[in-house]
Amino acid sequence: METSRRDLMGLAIGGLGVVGVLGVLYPIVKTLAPSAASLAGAMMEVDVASIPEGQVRVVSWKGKPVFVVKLPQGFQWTGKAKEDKNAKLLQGQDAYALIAVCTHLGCVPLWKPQGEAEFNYPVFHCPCHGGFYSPWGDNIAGPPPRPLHVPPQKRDGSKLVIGEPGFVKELT
Amino acid sequence: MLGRIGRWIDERAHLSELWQAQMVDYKVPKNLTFPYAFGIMAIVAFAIQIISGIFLTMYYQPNVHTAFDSANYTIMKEVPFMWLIRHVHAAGANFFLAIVYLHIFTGIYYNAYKKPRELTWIVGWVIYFVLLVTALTGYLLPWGQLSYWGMVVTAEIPTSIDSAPLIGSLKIGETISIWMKGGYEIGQITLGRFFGLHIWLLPLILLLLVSVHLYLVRAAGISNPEGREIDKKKEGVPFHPYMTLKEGAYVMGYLAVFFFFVFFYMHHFLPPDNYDPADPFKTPAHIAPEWYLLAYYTIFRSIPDKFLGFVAFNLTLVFLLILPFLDFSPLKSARNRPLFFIMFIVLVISSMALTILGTMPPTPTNAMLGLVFTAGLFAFFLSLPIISIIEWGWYKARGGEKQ
Ligand code: FES
Repeated sequence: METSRRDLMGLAIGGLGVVGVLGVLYPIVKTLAPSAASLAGAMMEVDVASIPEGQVRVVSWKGKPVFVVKLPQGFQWTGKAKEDKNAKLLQGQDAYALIAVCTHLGCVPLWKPQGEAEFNYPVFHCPCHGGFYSPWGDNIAGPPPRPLHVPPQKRDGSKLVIGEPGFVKELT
Repeated sequence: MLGRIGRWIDERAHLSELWQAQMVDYKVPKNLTFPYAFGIMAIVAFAIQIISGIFLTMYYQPNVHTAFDSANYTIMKEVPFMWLIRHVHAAGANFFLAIVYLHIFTGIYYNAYKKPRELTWIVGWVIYFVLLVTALTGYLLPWGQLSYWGMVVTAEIPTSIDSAPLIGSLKIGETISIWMKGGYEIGQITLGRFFGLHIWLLPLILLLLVSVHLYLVRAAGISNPEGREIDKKKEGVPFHPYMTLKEGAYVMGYLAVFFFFVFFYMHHFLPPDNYDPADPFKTPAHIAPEWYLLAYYTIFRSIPDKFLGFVAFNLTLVFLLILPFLDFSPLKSARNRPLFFIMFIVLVISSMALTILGTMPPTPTNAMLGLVFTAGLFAFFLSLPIISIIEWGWYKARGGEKQ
């Protein structure tokens, strides 16, 4: 009788102790979770209809600048890129997003719809060391070693949703 | 007068009894070699980091807009002698890790992880791990180009889990990566939390672990380079003055080398690239981690598959942790174990080669070499059970105890 009551007390106190420790640890560990501000940038919706044809808008996604490119109807591009990885991935899309970070040393390229230097058709031009990219972000010339990264994205009517898998599933 | 004050304190605090019991009556093997001094050197290095670190926090500002200037202008140029403190802290981190590596390799060589010292080894492993995290968090604080991009790369490492076959779709890796950074990008939140971890939490944990480690060393007794337990009464020498003076001399030698680097040879510890403020839009051409992580880095990138590379470098850490259980031979110390000695040499050469390869560009040849030496490193750990079985055979043949 005596001992069983003491055992019960021991169990109850021990149990309360465990609950207390968990109650303290949980919020402490949770303080390390990503902040609300950061998570808010995990998905970006852009209304494509509001971008003029042949123009580029820069938005922010996961803290990185992102180009949203809107191609004119029946867009033809006469240039030639070193690779056609992005072009294949994005073919048939009139609007798409590219990570706006030059794959050479990370500058933000400029959109030149009239062309630049010997390229007299629309290109992205990186002013830092003269890198050139096609409108799909494939590298044409200069030091960039690979095409611009393409974030996951899907199309939802006139909205382009960056950060959700769709016609591009993963960051490439 | 002084003597009377001393006696007054002693009568109340019993310090001389403590000294007698812990330093004079404490007997250690008389044949301890030079590598046995690495432990005390590591403690000295730890003390140096704490003292210099406290002074650095007085002037360092953990804010993305001011961190770089506070480290490179306020500390280096404005406040008298703070350049010296920063040099001491930066070089000290490297020396601390170098000594810890020597200490670990000494422990492996003399089999100081064997019964009854397994727990000492395990706590030591945790110290090593926490120390790496401490060094990593501290490296971000100056907010230079290498600080920033080094952390970008490090925070990407867990995402390799996501390229695993089944569990990949759970995106555990990305979650870990985001939890490390406190968001999608390395910014103010990352800097603030790394500062807190680096100056408070991790050093306090280290302090605790080091105390436990030292307690365990005393509890199990110091291992013997000959590989047998000593009869302390007959064979031991008093710790004081024999070891205190010897180790004191070694520590002075260590400090001389350390301050030579602090005054005359700092450019490796404060690399020039890190004197450019962090720029999230400009990746430096060469980013490799600090030298103490290079071996893991080489293992990681030599293996063509991202996930397997991740597994391999974590496996190295795990092997190190379970070393006392991989090696169950009755013999101790590489001095008595020719087979173990050969594999120990393989281990040393492989780890040094992996570290050197980490500084080189990732060409196919280097990746090949990386694979070869990764195999060498694994061969050491995996050969231990085999060597143990062989040695049990020898041991019994010589009339040792039955298993
Ligand atoms: S950063 Fe774009 S070309 Fe160098």
